[in-house]
Amino acid sequence: MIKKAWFQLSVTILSIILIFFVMVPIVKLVFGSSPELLVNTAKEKEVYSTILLTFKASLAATLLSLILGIPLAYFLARADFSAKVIIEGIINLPVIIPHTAAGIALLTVYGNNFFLGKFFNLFGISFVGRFAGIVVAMMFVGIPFLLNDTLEGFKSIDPRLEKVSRSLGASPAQTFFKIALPLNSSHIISGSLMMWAIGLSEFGAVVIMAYHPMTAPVLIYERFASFGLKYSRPIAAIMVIASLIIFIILRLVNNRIGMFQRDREESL
Amino acid sequence: MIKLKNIRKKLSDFTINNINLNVKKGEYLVILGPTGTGKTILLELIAGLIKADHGQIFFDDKNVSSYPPEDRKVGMVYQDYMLFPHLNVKDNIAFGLNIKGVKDNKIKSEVQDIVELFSIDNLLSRNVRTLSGGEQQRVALARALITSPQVLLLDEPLSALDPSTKESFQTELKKIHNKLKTTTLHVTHDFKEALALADRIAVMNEGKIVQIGSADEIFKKPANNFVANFIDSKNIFSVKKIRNNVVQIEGKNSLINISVIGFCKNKANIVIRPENIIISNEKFTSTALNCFKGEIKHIVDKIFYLEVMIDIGVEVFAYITKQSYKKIDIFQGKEVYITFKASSVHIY
Repeated sequence: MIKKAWFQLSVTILSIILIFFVMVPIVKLVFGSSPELLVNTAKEKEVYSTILLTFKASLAATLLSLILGIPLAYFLARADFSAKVIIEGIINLPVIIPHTAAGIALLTVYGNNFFLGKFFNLFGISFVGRFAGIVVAMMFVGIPFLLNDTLEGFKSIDPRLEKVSRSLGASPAQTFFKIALPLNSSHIISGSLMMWAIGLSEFGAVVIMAYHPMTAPVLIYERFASFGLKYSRPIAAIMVIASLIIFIILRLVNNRIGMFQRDREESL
Repeated sequence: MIKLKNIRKKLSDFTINNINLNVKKGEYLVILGPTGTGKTILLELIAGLIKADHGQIFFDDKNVSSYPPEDRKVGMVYQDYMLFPHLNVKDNIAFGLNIKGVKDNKIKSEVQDIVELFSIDNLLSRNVRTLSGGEQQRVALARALITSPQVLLLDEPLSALDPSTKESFQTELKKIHNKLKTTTLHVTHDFKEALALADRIAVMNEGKIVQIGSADEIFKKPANNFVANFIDSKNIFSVKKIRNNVVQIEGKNSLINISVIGFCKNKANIVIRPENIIISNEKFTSTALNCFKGEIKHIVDKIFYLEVMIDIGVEVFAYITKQSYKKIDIFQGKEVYITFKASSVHIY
């Protein structure tokens, strides 16, 4: 009895410590500035245009990754070949390398003097110090989160559902769009949200590809480095509040789809 | 109608080996065999869901070996139904017609016809997750049959049902087959299910078809020890030929001569169905050539009949009715006679 109480007490205390660890700095950040200061900061053109740019770049990175990532995840979930493990490992590389190193790596490929940079220059697209560079950096660091969730979702769909679809006359493409994709919607949305969030907070890779135009994390850093905590804190607080509001809304939407998905998994 | 010619398929841990099979138009063929013997793979090969390494598949004399599944016109029903969980009952059933671009009013009337056939018209707007096993099974069959497939492939369709639902669905399945006459291949490991439904049975073992024939043929004349054991033949013995129409079993302490009819190799196996063995208290004169004295070792109540094991030097099983049991008053340890005709002994 005493042993059981000790265990429950330890679990509770450790959990509370962790929740405080995450919550306290965020609460302190949000409530550390007066509402007037937050409103005035949000009204600054540089601040709101930077936040808007950050959201737009992350959204663009996520949408591009969806177009490229869903087919790859589907292929990896269904195909059976020996190099599959290697490909899955490569996909996860951006998670383990320092993001500044990722930025340098991207610069050596998409920089104006490097091969992909030169190639895209032919079409009038350049990356260094451009919106496209921010998108590429966000894609690079965020795509593992989208891919892993999507891959997991496709793996959880019984291949026999697709076999039945084929036997009923559906082509591979029809089977993908009418069976696999709708059944994986919850995982895809969840992975997309995660990737979008990673994009919003990305600093290391973005700052190397494009110091300007500034994303919110870069602006926060610049204000901190140039003017100190007092001037960087309100922007950071606004970014946290804006992200929280959007994420809560999207999570609510996703939870509705998730409820359907869980029911489906239970029924299988 | 369906012809499989030298079909071979090697998977990582399993091989389908040289399958040859002819299924007549409108026939109900049951593929019977234990789990893991390649029955489902065979169905998926016919459906085109797996490509054979070697051999050809013909539908109505047309070689469909290279056809993708969507061009083969098959209906496939898996053991756990595989209803599309994001679609309701109506959309599940109409899936095949929607894919083919059939007009809405035609789909509506076709769906109505098929749901009436399966008595599921009250389920149309239901979410498939809320259906019982039997209802799911009906929806899966309706979905497979609405496209009028050339062949219906059923992979253990009754094994997930409870015994009473299974029995009633078995009857319904037979009735629907008699009405639609769709050529059907039904995979199962349950011999009773095969007996109840099949026009013919193909027995599979380790990726090969080891015997094909009517239920009666399989039951009375198993082709080998595997089939005999699988259909629970009970009295299977290795024998050697003594002379024409007489074989010998080596018993525990004696040699037992059995009269048989037909050709026998020098070394062979015989099987005697337990229901063909008569137990009596006294030896009696009859046309049956085989009569042996033995001791009853045990009697097991099988609810509808009794299984009696008699030791005649080898252990022999006989089935008797409960009325017979009362009439001849037998018990464990009692000495009795067993009698069976030479024609009841199947040699292979």
